[in-house]
Amino acid sequence: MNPGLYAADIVPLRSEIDATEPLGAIMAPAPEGVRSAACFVLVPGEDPEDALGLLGQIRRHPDPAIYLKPVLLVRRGAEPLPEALTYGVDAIWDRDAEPARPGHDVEAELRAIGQRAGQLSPVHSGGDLDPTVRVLRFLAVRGGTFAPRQTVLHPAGWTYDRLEPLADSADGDVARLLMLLAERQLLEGEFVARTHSCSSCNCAFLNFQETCPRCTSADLLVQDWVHHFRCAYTGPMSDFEYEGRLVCPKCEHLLRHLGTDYDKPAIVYQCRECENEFHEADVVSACYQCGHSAPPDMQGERYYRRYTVTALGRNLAIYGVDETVGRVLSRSGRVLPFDSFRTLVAGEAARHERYRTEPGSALVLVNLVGLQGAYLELGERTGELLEQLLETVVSIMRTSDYIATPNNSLFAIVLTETGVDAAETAVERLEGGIAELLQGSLSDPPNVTFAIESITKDLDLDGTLDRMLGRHAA
Amino acid sequence: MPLEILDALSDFVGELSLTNWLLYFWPFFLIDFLRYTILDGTVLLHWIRWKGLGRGKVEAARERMFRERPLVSIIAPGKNEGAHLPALARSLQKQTYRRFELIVIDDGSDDATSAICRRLLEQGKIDDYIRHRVRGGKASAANTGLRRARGRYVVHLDADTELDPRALEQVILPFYLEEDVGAVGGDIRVANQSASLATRLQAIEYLKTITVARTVASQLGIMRIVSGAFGAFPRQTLERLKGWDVGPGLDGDITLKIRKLGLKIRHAPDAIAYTNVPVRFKALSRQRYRWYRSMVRFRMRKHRDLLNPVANFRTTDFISSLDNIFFNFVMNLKWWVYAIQLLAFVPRPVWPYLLVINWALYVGANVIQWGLVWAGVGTSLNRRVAALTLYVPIMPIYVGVYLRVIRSYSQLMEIFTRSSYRDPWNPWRVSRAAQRAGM
Ligand SMILES: [Zn+2]
Ligand SMILES: [Zn+2]
Ligand SMILES: [Zn+2]
Repeated sequence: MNPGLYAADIVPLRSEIDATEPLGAIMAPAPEGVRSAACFVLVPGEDPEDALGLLGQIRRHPDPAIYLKPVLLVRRGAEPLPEALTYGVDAIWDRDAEPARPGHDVEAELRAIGQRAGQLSPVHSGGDLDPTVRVLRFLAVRGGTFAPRQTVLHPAGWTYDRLEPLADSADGDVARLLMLLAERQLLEGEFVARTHSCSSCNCAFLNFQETCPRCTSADLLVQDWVHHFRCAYTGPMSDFEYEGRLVCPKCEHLLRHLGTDYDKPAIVYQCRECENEFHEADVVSACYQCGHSAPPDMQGERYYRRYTVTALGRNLAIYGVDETVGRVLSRSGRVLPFDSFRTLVAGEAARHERYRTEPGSALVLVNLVGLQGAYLELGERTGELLEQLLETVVSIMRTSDYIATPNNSLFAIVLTETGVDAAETAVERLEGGIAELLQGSLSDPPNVTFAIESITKDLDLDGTLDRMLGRHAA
Repeated sequence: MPLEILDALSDFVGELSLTNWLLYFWPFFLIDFLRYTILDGTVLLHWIRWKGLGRGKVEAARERMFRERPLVSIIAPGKNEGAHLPALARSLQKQTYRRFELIVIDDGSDDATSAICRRLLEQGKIDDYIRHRVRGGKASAANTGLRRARGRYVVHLDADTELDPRALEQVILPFYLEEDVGAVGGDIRVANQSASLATRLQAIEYLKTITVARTVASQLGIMRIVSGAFGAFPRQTLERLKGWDVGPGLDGDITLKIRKLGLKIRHAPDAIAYTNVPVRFKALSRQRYRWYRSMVRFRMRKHRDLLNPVANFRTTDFISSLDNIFFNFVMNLKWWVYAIQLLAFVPRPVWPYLLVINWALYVGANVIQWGLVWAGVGTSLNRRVAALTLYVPIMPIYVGVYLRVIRSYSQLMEIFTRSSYRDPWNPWRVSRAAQRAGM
């Protein structure tokens, strides 16, 4: 088999790739044959770095039909390959171990990825240019949990292997993109590690050294500070050292036992450069990669988490278009733009239809009737009350629940993976929290009505909202 | 009825001959009045006159000091004192003498002290901060501070004191007024005097026993203590002695060692530090119990040689120690003798008269002493201090009964149990090491 990249159908995948010509590189727009193939097969040649380059080209291609496609790496036994390559692909086929064809599970996995990628809503002409969107879609299509791996071969000390090729240096590091997605509730993260990294290049390999606060030299002598109990003399250990024993320079007694005769309540530094003696050294951290040096608290900080895609993330990735995702990314706070909310509801309905998973998701509507009274009583401060109300509602919701406010008096909430019965319990808690706030703030609080709907294919979101508003307006 | 008692009292007084006065009231006339009213009064009045005449000399010394501008290292050792430090730093920023460094030694604090200190360090309000991870006691913390000090003079300060704006200038000035001054004690006054009866009485007591008595002792050359709450030393002198020894009583101890070097000890009544004193009598009793025991330990045991005419003899040292022993023992003994005298020779019906007359005599002496306070440092006292005058008549009971009882009890405890080694003043390991050393 010749080195290079092949666009292939997975089934049947024979021992010899039946594509005639390896692809040199993928151009945008991609040829139709490449777009419709089920997967890429990557065969490293003399220089494995070439294969790594091809992988990057695939993953940074704007066309979802290219960058989301599974990649199979073909290797021969213990052939040395870069870590970034072996961990960066979706599956590996070792032809020395299984000469005929990759294992069934490998094939099944590649097929599943290809299938999910096929469900994506049609993409607009430019493709997915935003690396954040690419990362989200990539995760949604692959499903499951993405955990970081600790490695000295990556300057950050940790990598999200398969995600790394999705972003290049101009896009910023993947860990930061993931943090951003998690902040917007598109991903859910479980803590793995926290690192200090260079604030200028994000390299996690930092050298921490104590330096002299006067001359910044790092050539320091570090000694224990000794306290002789019986005479209260204190000084550096070297004050006491005398012919191989410890003798007090004040009372001339021998120091025998640590804890009964003396202790070491501090340490002291002596600068070999300027002879300054001090107890608190400055600490400086210097980057091994770019040499940038700064106090530790001025360096960067990264959280590494094990991520899973949330319901919102999954639905926006699969049914949303680029701009919808973009709007979610640019908002702040918990309230979703209503079109994203609509996408979420439609996605949950479709998922329920397809998998019939029990329980499905529930839609809860909260309507404040007679809010005019509040305007009369509070005037412009009604806005503050509504914000407080929203805060109360959000504090009662789970992190996997989503809220939108189609208008001032109406809150729409999606409770994911919640049946109607469980939704009723949640509504009771909402009712309590809202009533407490309203009764504490207004002499004539508005009526609050609730509606619970199961999210299915038959749910008509706009109709339900209209009915809710119309019924109470009447 | 009350009038009849008054008549009886006046009859009793009327019939007293001069011999009877002496026989019945010798502790007052021959001891207390002579030592603490006549002697102190004479010396103080002399000092006031000297101060008036020497104004030009003081001004010249002050000028020389401000020209030389010696660096003063202020060391503030202590455990869990962080909360007091911002106020201390503020009071330092208002000083008339500004060339100083503030060194804070954190003796194993387990509260927010280190966070507070690091903040003050960043703000430049503290110049140096050293932390002992484990508490080693006040002496070791002060010694670490001394080791860090770079100034020509070292001022030892309790972190919970606040300095009068002229305090630093006034505490250093005596080094420029005279040669061979080894230590200068600052004047400690009560900051929270209005908090309770106990604090009011202590406020009067501090003015009498520190402001007046130490000024007098300083004049006589028999000063025996420079308060750890606020005292100044030439750094060289402290380094010669290799710093402070294990407490309690380290203040008195270092002062005596400086005396032994042949240096003078001076009190600076215008170098004022304000400190918070115990508000409740219970806390006050505990504090005094600790102080009085340490006095016995250091005067009688460790520095016995000051009484010994062969070694190291200096008349003022001898008198100083004698005065202290007089104060601590003769004064106690006197009451035992007096009590026996009453029991054995004086008919019981006379006792109430003696009690009332004694009280009146001591009130009289206290009023005179209170007058001396105002004559001596009246310009630094305000209306709130003037209001304390109402409490002067209670002083005989406070000093003569309350403090006397605690003093006697602590001396007995110290002599018979050496219990101060188990005092919470020092960590247990340190006390044990000192005890094994026979100190
Ligand atoms: Zn020693
Ligand atoms: Zn240096
Ligand atoms: Zn760097």
